[in-house]
Amino acid sequence: MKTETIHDIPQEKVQNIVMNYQSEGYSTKVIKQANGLFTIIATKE
Amino acid sequence: MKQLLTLFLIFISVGCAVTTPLQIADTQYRNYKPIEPIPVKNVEVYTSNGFVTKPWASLTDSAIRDLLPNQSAQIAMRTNDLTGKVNYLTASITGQAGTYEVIMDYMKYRIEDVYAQNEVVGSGRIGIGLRVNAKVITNKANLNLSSLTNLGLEASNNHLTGLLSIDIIGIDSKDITNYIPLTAKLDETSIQSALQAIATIKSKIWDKNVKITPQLIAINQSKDSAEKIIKEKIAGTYSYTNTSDLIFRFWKPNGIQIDSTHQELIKKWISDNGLDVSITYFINTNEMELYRQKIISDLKLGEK
Repeated sequence: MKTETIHDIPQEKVQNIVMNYQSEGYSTKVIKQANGLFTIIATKE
Repeated sequence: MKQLLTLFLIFISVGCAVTTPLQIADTQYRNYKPIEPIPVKNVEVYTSNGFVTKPWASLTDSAIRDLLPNQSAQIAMRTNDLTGKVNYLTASITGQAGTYEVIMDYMKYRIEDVYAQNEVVGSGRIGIGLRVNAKVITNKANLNLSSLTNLGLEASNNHLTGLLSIDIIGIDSKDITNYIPLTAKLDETSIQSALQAIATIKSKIWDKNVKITPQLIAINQSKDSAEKIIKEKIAGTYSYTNTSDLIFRFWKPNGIQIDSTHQELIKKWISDNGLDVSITYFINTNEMELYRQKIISDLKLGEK
C-alpha cells in the first residue's frame, strides 16, 4: 500500500485535491487540523 | 622483571588506544539534529480573539523576533558508515582517522512539538541562525573538534584537511551580504574570518533594516525515524505555485479531464527522476517545487 500525506491545505482547495487523488485511483481521508487548515491522507493499494 | 614487562606492555597499549565515541544511526538519534532549512508558512500567535494561525510573512520583523524567544549555540558531529548511512557522534572527539562533518549552530528559535496519533514524536526548532559547517578528513585519531579554534589548531598541525562554509539562515540585509565570507579551505585564516563574520552578523539581528525569515532549522526526534513526519507537519506540505498551475493545466487541460498522453509524459518524468509520488502530490507540495521547475524546463511546458 502506498500512502501520501499533505498538510496545511486551505478549505477551498480540499475538494480539488481530493478529486485529483481520486482520478489517480487513490482513496482519501480528510482531517481538520487544530489551526483550521486540513490534512489529506491518500492511500492506494 | 616479567611483571614489569607486562605493566609496560599494558601502558603502551592503553597509551596507543583509539577512543571510539559512541555512534548512533541517524534514524535513532535522540538529540538536536541540524537539517537543511525548510520554509515554514504559518505560526500560532495570541491575539484579542485567542490563538490564531497567521502566516509568518504577515508579521513585522519585530513581532517575528518576539516569537523566537530561545537562543542557543550547539554543535553536532556526524560521519558516514561503510554503507553510506549517516551516524551521529555522541562526543566531540573523533574516533579513528576518517571523514567527519562538524556543524556549529547559533540559533534564535521557538520549539513546536509534533504529534502523530496522539503522541509526541519529536519537536522542531523554527527560527533563524548562523551555521558553520566543516567537512574534514582527519589523518590522526582522537581529535577534539568541539570548537572552531580547535579545528584551526588541528588544521595548522596538519592533522586534518577540509572545507569550511557559513550559512546565514533567515537573516537578510544589504550589510549582511557584504559580511559573508566565501567558502574556503579550512585553515586558521578562514576560521578567523568566519569568527569575525559570525560576531558581526549576530550583532545585526536586532537592526531595524534586517529582514527576518524563520525556517525549520533543526529537529529533535523522540521516536525512531520520525524526521520525515516532523518536517512534514511543521513545514506544512501544501503549496500551489505558478509551476503547479502550469503542470496541472498540462495534466488536465480543461480543469477536469485528464489528457492521458500528457499524464504518461508526467509519470515517466517523475519515475525517470527517481521519485515515487502521485501527480497530485507532485503538483501540490512545497517539497516538489524544484522538481516542478525542472519538469517545466525539460518538457518545455512554458512554451506550450
